[in-house]
Amino acid sequence: MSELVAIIPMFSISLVLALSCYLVLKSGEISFGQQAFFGVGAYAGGILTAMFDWPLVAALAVSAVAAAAVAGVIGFSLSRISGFRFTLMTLVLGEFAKEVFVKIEWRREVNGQAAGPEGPLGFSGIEYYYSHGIQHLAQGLIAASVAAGCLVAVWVYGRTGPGRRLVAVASDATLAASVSIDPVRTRLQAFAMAGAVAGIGGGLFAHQATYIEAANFSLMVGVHAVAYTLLGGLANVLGPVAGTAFDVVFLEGLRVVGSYRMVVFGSLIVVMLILRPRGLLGTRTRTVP
Amino acid sequence: MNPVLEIVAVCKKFSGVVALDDLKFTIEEGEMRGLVGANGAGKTTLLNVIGGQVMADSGIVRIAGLDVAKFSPWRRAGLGLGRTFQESRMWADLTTAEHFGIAIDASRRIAGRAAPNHAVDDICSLVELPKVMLERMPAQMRLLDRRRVELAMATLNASNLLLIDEIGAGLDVEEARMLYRLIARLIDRRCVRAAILVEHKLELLAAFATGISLIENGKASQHADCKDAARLALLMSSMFGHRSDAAAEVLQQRKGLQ
Amino acid sequence: MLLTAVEGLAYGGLYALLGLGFFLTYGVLRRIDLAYGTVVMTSVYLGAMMVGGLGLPWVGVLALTLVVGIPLSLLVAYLAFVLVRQDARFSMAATLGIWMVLEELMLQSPGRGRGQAIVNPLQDLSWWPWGLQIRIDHMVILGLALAVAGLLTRFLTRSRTGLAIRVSAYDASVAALLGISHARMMVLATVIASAVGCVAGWSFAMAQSGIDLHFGMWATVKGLVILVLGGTQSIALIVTAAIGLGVAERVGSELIGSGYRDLVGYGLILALLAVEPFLRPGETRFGDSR
Ligand SMILES: Nc1ncnc2c1ncn2[C@@H]1O[C@H](COP(=O)(O)OP(=O)(O)OP(=O)(O)O)[C@@H](O)[C@H]1O
Ligand SMILES: [Mg+2]
Repeated sequence: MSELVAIIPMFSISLVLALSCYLVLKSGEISFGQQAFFGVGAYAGGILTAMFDWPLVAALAVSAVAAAAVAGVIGFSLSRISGFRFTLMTLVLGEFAKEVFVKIEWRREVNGQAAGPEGPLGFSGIEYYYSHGIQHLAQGLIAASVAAGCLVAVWVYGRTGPGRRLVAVASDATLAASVSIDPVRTRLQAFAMAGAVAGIGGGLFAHQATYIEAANFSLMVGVHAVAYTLLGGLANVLGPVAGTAFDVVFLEGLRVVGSYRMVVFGSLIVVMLILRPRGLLGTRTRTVP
Repeated sequence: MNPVLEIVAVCKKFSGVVALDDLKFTIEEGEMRGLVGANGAGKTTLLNVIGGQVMADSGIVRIAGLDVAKFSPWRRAGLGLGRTFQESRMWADLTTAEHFGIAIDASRRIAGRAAPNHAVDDICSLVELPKVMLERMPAQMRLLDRRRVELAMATLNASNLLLIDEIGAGLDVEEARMLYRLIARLIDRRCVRAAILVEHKLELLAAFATGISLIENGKASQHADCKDAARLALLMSSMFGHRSDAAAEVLQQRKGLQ
Repeated sequence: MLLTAVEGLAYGGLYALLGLGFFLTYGVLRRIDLAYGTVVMTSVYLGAMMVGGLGLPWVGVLALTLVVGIPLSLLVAYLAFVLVRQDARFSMAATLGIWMVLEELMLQSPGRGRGQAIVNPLQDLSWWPWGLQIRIDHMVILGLALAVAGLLTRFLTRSRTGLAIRVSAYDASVAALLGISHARMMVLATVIASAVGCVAGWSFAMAQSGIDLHFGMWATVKGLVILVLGGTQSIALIVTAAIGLGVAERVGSELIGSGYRDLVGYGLILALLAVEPFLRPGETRFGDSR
């Protein structure tokens, strides 16, 4: 039981990042750069609580806005390209962001102590939970409710105009444009939203980890999040949940395969793509009545 | 009143191949203009240049008086341009009802509250689509029903002009005739102001169109009013070349089809 | 400054080799292989480890790299591009799964993911024209890249086998009509691409006197970027783009400071990729036609 409580925060954070990838995948593209927005959210949230004593909720909100803004700017170009070029650009974005994080250096005196990111030494002392006496159970609760909030937001998005237009654009952009849907704008909205979700996840992560550094936002993180979604399937928002649960709870939480977890996980992706390319939950298919 | 569509001196080359060559073309209110021409004559390219799927190298494309030559396809659609494509196109993993929902939503976003509030039921009856089709995915529908859905979606946006590219291809004459009757009715009811129909079966055009244009080598080389039997015969004979008896045959069939 | 530019030429040569490998996999085979760099890294890594363990001479590294790399590439190609067939994006995702597995296996290997030393036979050999110190090994890499590019161009445009590969990649059924075995051609092209990659990986590792795990994804990203910059039309363009990027990166980081080398490199590439969709003419805009 206590083991389960211990993995709730990790599970929730991974899920939020997977939801971000899910949004991008819904637009028909694969992004290996969502960890960049995750990192933006982490640094923004951490700076606000550790250096400026902001409350957590406000800091998370700014995490979302900051990451969405960065996604919006880069999305200006990304929403105009597709396929392999899109993936490549997100890949480069991720590596670029990592280099930027290494350079973030900003110290400030807080309660007689210096706080803030220290460039290559990372950013330590994001101790909001500790200084506000928030215990493990409460931390898990916070992470889980934020993740649930993101889940609901992504679900609602998929059921309303912008989400439906996104599916249409992903499926046939020319047809969508012929019924007066702006494909670029639709994709840009989705990308900004995906950025916001990743940013929230990053904000949560910073406070959970208390110490962050550029290496936390490596390509491996982004690839995992995409893999969770592909593993679970794109049918609906439960896909990323299933995929994340499988890896975080089964492979990591229960330590079934020990230090070969990544080997097993990577092979699993390949095997799944060969045997069940539509994911664990599959996509909707309807039979002829 | 401005013509529904006015094309002046449009040129389009595809890496050296001239597809449209200094083309001039006008469509007036209430017209149903048939486009005929050999394979590769440039009919689809003309529709693409009007719809924005292909950008003209030069020239003017006016929809209801506004030059849209530099506009992207979705903006042109928002100005009242609807189209169907030569190959049947639907969103593979959405049901018919979802198709309509998205198209209605999109057209209302563009036109604001002034847009007519279409109900899915009205749309179905407009294109005589059986209600059971609403819950089907494209792969589960036969071509005729898919074409009905495509026509309905195009119409939702096409307050000005409807562009129809070989909607009868792959269907038998009877089914194609049904679709053209639906289009004629859309114009009668003022759902759209005018339509351009690309069609290889001349007898269908002779039966439903108000006029026919022949596209040859990227130019609109001849126009004929469908009431003007002599010009129609001339257009057909230049299209069929030596087989002028084919033209007479088409004119014969015209009565039967209407 | 000039010296940095010359050093950039060597990197350009390396990028050109990587770019050529990707030209074969993407330009000819239409495959996006994100495990490409990692397969190369794994092969060089294992080669270096074995040579270190057995005390073989330096050529052993290259030989072992090829011995490991070619079968491994074929395995990757089979898994990700033959067995996963539904969608090119899924194949790409599968190659990432393979990337994960390989990188983790290297971490768990006796090498523990630590850098492996490689003997550089040309170390400390330099040439001093006009008072500039030019490392011979750098010039060897550049020469190697140009030679490989020339050979590949000849092979693909002049030889029957090269033509057969191109036909087969273009349309398997046409190839079958002409009596060309699609599967054989794909295997052959994969082998060539892999060999080019192994040579690139080995020469890079040699110039650096060692190899570590970072090389894998770094090489993949650089190779893909060269492909985007140089296009898929001609080998000459690829080589030009590669050398241009190599020089621009070196000179750029020299101007701004070496601590910013990767930042400048990735920033440059990101900027190029970002402005690219705005430079293309109107009709290829997204959603206008497909
Ligand atoms: N996207 C394109 N790229 C290159 N060439 C094109 C393109 N679209 C059309 N063409 C060329 O332009 C010419 C006109 O083609 P178009 O499709 O307009 O003919 P069409 O009259 O519609 O023929 P069909 O009756 O077969 O549909 C043809 O030579 C065609 O090969
Ligand atoms: Mg056509």
